[in-house]
Amino acid sequence: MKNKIKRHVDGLFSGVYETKQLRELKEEICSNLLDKVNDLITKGSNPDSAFQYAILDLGDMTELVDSLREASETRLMKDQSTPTFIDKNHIIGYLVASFTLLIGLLSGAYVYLQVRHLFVALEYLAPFLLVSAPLFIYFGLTQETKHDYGMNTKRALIYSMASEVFLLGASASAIEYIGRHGLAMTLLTFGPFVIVSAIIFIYLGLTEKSRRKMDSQWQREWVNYYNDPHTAMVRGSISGALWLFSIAAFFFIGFAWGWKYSWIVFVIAVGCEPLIEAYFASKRKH
Amino acid sequence: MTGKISSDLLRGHTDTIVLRILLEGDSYGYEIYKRIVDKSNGLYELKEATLYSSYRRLEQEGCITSYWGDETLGGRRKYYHITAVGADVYQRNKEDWEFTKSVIDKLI
Repeated sequence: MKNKIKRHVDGLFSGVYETKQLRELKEEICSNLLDKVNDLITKGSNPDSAFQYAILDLGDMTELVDSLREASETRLMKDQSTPTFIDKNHIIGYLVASFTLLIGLLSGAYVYLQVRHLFVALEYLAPFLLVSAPLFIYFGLTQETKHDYGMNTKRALIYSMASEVFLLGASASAIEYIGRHGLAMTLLTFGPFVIVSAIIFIYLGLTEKSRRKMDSQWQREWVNYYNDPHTAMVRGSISGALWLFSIAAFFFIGFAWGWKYSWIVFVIAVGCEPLIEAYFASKRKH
Repeated sequence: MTGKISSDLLRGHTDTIVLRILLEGDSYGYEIYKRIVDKSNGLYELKEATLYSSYRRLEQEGCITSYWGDETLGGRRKYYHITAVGADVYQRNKEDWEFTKSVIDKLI
């Protein structure tokens, strides 16, 4: 029931850009609706008709939706004159991440000066990097900028986790490499980490929503791009085909020649994405 | 009682009605809604959409403040609290209404 209500409320505000204010309003409406539905169920109504009655009784939301849209536009105007969006959480987050990285760099540099061996110095830097990098990614993604709203915190957390998995893989395979276990062993160690993070990144990439603010100049570009359904469809199909092909190739190569080679397919696919984007970007200009 | 309530007429008073409820203590959306329906003995069927617009307006005007309650099964509840400004606005609106009512009573 909770999800059903949430989906309905999301639908009501589908045309409005997701801001913190809107997220909170939706949360408020959802909890009130659930209270109401539960109340009706206690009074003997069945869950389905209780839900139907409650959403019908909500009334005409257009006034509220309009006022929210207006408010986000007014805020946008104000935002343009005051281009700072950093709140206290982000300042603390960036400071902690920078401080951790700085300690890592200093201890790495110190070790390097002592032993004159790059790998040993990197070993000292790595743990600090593993802490600071996901912090930077998380706070960077949730950061509101002049043109984009901050990312939803849960989603940003998944992004930073996926990067962390990738970095852990990089460190683990670096250890293998330094330990002179051979290139094959290094790649074999890296593989599973790359696969896990690639799957998460693909999922995130395919479900990504625009967080762009709709000020006039950006709005025009955005509308120009997406108002051409043909281009958008071709672009989407090529990407989709690329990833489907990669997954198929991944399993094929994995079974045919061994899993230690097959993950490379994803690296190639990741490399192809910007090329496709670049091609469409250059076409869009004409 | 056989009258019908003009929703247009009441709409202008929604903010005052909400302030009146909040004068009795902090409350959240569904409870406020239920108390309004109960108080009117079910004769005033307002829509929740009207109330959400009202909360937004009142909060912007500084008449009420809001805070999140504890997490329940359905999610967090948003509670509203009336401010001193809100209490003043309520008092003024009430006096205005009493005056309007007395004048209109003489006319219709």
